[in-house]
Amino acid sequence: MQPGAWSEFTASNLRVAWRSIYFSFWQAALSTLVTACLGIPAAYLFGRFKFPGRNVLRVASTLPFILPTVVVAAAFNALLGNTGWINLILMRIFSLPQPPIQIFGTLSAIILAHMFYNTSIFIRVVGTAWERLDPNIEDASRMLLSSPWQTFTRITFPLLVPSIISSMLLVFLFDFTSFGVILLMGGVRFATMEVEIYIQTTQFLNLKIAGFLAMIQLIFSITITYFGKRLDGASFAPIMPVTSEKGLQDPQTPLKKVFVIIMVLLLVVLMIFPLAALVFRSFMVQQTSGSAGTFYFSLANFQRIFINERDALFFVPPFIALRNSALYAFAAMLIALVIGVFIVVGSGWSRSIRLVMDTMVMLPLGTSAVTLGLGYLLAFSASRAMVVLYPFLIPIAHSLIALPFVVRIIQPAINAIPTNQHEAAVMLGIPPDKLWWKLDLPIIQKPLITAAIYAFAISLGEFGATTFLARPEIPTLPIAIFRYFGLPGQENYGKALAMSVILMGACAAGFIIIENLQKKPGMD
Amino acid sequence: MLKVTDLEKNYEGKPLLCGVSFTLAANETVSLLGRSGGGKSTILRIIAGLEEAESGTVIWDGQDFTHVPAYRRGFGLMFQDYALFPHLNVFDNVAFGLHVQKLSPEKLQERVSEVLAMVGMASFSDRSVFDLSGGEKQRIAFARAIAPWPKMLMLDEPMGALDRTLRDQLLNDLQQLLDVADIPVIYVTHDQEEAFAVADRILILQDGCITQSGTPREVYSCPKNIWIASFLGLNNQMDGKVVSLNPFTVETPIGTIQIDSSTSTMRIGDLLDLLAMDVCIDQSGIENQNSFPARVTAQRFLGHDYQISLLIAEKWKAVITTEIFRPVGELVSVSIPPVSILPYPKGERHEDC
Repeated sequence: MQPGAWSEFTASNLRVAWRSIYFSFWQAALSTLVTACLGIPAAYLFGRFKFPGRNVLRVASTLPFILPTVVVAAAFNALLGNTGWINLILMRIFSLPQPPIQIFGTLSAIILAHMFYNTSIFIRVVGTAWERLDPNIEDASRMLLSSPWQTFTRITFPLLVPSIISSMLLVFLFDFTSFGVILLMGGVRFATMEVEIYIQTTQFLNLKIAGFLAMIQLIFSITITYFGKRLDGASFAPIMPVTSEKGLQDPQTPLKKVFVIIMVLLLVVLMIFPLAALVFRSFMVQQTSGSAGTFYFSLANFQRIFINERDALFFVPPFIALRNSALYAFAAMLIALVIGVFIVVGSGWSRSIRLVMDTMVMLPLGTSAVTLGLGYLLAFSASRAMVVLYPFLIPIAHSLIALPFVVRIIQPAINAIPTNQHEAAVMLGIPPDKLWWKLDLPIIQKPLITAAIYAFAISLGEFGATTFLARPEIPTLPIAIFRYFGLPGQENYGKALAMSVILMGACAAGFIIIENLQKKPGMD
Repeated sequence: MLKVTDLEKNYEGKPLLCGVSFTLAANETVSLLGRSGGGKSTILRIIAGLEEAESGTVIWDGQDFTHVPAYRRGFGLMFQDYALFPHLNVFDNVAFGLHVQKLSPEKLQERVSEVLAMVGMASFSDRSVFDLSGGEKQRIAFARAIAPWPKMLMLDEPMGALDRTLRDQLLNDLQQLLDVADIPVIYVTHDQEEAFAVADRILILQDGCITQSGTPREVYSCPKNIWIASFLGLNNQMDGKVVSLNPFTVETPIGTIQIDSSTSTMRIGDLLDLLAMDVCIDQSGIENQNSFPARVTAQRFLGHDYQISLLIAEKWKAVITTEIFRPVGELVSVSIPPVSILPYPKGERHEDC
């Protein structure tokens, strides 16, 4: 070890590190609890009730899962920011000189965004479990003279516990490794380990402290992932849920009606309002520079994306960032698909390959994007020449982040192909070495498309790892959005919003394609 | 056409097939009948080339097929649960094997239409296989198997997944389809009714060997051993001991009875399993040979007739069908015609009738 290897580990640095560890846990625990308070009732709503607009709301409620953090931050900014809708309206009504709601830079903002993100996990995991829970079981309990409350506490809830625990672990993991949301909603003041790694690396160049934090982060994440995996089948969210609708009922009692109405309103406010606000706000432009000056409808924000203004970031017009992101995403998608397919096929060859692959592939899920980005930075920081290579590392880093998702989508589809399908094909004259091309590949076509869209969307919106690897003159869309939000002036704000809308549109389009793919019958 | 010799196969360390041999003539439909889990499907899979036997040969038309890979054998196999390809519609499922043969699009279209018409599913070609009922799936699986003109067709429990009404209906259709297909067929089933309905010849698989081969009538009227009799549902059985060879007389729990059968291999004192093919209720007090008093212990209405359980001489239970209703408790006289009693030496299996 070189002399001075420990020189960065000063008392103050360690105190900072400890504070970030403590805060990571505390905010993640709080966020998880708050999310569960909304998520479990929402799971009940989707697991048991029929109501008008159910499918639309379900899709809208699960959409955030695929949305980039910068878009979510932009959406809350458009709704609750200083020049967001609510403040603009309040300022106009009450003729206030200052925006009355100052939520950005508070813990509430962070928790709100985490809730926005992760409620979808409860809806997907617990909601699906609830929906699959045979209502006859509950009826049987009721026939044995237990009250609805007893039925819930003694039958329904115990049956849902595995899915609730696994959702909570997953949500905790996501909140624990959260980076973009914390940085964008809270600011550097709220330093989680991720943010601290970022600050130590980019501002203080304390790579060792950053590495130390990353290591601790990795250990915690892997531990949580391990416990999640031990919960077996229920441990990870089914990305392609199967819906049966057997247990769904119309809300009949007044209590149930009230519950459905309140929950629907809550979800609309929390899930749809911010996204709608973002879209509408991106088409608004302020006429004069003033406090609450008049706003009017305009495409100007979108037009400015294509203009190379003098104050543009390194004189690169924003649409270049869009192009970069699209190229990176395409490359990341290809890499993730190829590696993912090889892993899935290889896992079929032997148990030991499978075990190794499983662990290796799931590791990036437990690892945060920031740790991954830092890892690349450290691995390739040996020589100055390597710095030039950073942009080429972006799609590789993105594909690694997407890989667990790709594998988890493709693997079940491949495993679901019964052996006798292969035998049937062989009997019809297909040589065994061509089975993959002639049968497996066409059968998993839909999951493959789904995986491709996921990989593309993940790369398109990836923020954490990219902050370490993107060069200023070759920004990605989320990086550009982040920087424009940091710049003063309504025009920069508008451009950031417009770019966010484009990013959201791309992700939403992919999400809608995936939803439609799943509607058609698959392997069952 | 097909000659299978001495197939042996172990399953989880225990012998499953111990020397299975049989032949199949051109255009013959043979049914392989045996207990579930007895290795019938394994025989099919070995013939198909999907599994290898530990020893034994599969000869087709004089050529040794034992080590020819499945995809080159040109046999058709219809799977128990049909194994339709989920990503393909009805047309493409049926066309799958034809694509391999690199047929021109017109010829392919023509063959698929022909086969679909044969199974009465011509209008289904654009359907997803998820939109098919059990019976429809079965027809498509059949169409897919015969479309590429297989040398031979094998069906593995094709009715296994269907309910009884549908099964009876489809059995007739299948019988006709097999006639039309005009190729040798091996039909694997555990259900004797199915086997009797479709097969020219029945092969009984017992403990890993083919123990009886014959037309359905031969097998049913003269099961080669008591196990086969039980398997075919012939349960009017009792123990006996030879007391005289001329006339052939046997001591049984209900008394001594006369049997009209060859005694060439019997000796006095031999223990026998007796199968009564016919037990009839004596009409109008006429006493026949082997007559015994009996009491009706249960009756079940079957629709066209009645199934009646009898306790004969207060010792032996037998079940018969009659056209006449008999109330429980009624006392009757029954007789067992000497010609209808089949004796099987105890502990032996391969005795000729």
